[in-house]
Amino acid sequence: MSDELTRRVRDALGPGRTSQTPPEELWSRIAAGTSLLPRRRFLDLRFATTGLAAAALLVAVGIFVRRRSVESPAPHAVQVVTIASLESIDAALSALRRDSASVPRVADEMLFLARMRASLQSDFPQRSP
Amino acid sequence: MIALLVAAASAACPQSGKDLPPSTRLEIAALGGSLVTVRGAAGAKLALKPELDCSMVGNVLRVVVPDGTRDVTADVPSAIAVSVTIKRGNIEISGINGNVMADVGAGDVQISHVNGDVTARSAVGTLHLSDITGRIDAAAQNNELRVTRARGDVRVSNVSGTTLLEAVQASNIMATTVTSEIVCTCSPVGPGIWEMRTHTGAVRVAVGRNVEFVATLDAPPNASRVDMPGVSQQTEGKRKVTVVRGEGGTRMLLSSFSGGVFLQDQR
Repeated sequence: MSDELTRRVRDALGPGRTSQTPPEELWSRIAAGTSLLPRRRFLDLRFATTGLAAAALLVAVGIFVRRRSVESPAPHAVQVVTIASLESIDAALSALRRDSASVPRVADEMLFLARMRASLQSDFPQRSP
Repeated sequence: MIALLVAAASAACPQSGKDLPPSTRLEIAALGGSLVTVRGAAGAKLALKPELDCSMVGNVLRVVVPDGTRDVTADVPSAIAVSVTIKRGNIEISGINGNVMADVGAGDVQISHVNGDVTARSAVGTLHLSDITGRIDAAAQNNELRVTRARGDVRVSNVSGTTLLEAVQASNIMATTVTSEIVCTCSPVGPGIWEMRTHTGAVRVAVGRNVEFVATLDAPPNASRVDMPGVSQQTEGKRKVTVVRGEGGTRMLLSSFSGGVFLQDQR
């Protein structure tokens, strides 16, 4: 240490320096009176800022993921089910077409399925997501 | 804190705590996922939980549920009409002496004790309607549709879910499905037409022993069955069987293109 620093340390310790004084207290006295004070507050603030930013990022990601997981499936499920229903009716209609549509009973069943299809589209119109 | 208090105060519905005239139509719409419960009681005043904003236009009281609101409960006087539309969630409505409409994209609908016409839709969910006095118009797609203790004409449609009509008293019933089953324990309240039809599923009808009817069962050969004594049966072609009990009465058209049709007495 330089002479100047040694003097400032001695001034800071003052007359209360004894062997029983805990090292932490000694250091705090030195830190209070010298420019060698470690920049703990600056470091703490920097760590705190970084921690807050990381926490905010985590919260934002969490909210985004949760909203996606909560909101998306419902409209998607409605569309999937409606499309599946329409496809099942279309499949039944196709199967009937392979038979003879000139048979009155088959023609009547095709009309029934067509009505069911129209009713389905009317009862469950595609909604905007 | 002050801002929150101001926001809460501004969100309150002016009609809260007041009587609603009988001609009022309450409309609740929720974009997000919610459980919307509407409970009617004679003499009750409007109470919304949580307090929500509303607007009265003519006789229509509109309540828009903000996204993120989980549960909404509306206590209302019974003599109003109610309409609830939500994208996802559940709807529970009871105790209404007026017409009711419930429409949910993905979720269940439960409506009970309504003296009025009921319209219900659920694309992905169940419909349970009970103790309804009025016409019923209900449609589901792939889940159970159950109507219990209803008195009034019934029109139900279900693509691939089971349709159950229990203790239904109706002049006219129209029940259709594509791939599933229709089970009806019904009684007529006057001459009318019961038409129950499926493409590949089954139709099962049970009627009271004193009920007079003319029923046509249309199913593949040997796929229709009549389990009731004292009826006359006449076969038409390979598919149709006409069953008659008494003189006149309800006209039943029970059809399954490639499944089965069953007619029996109630036990």
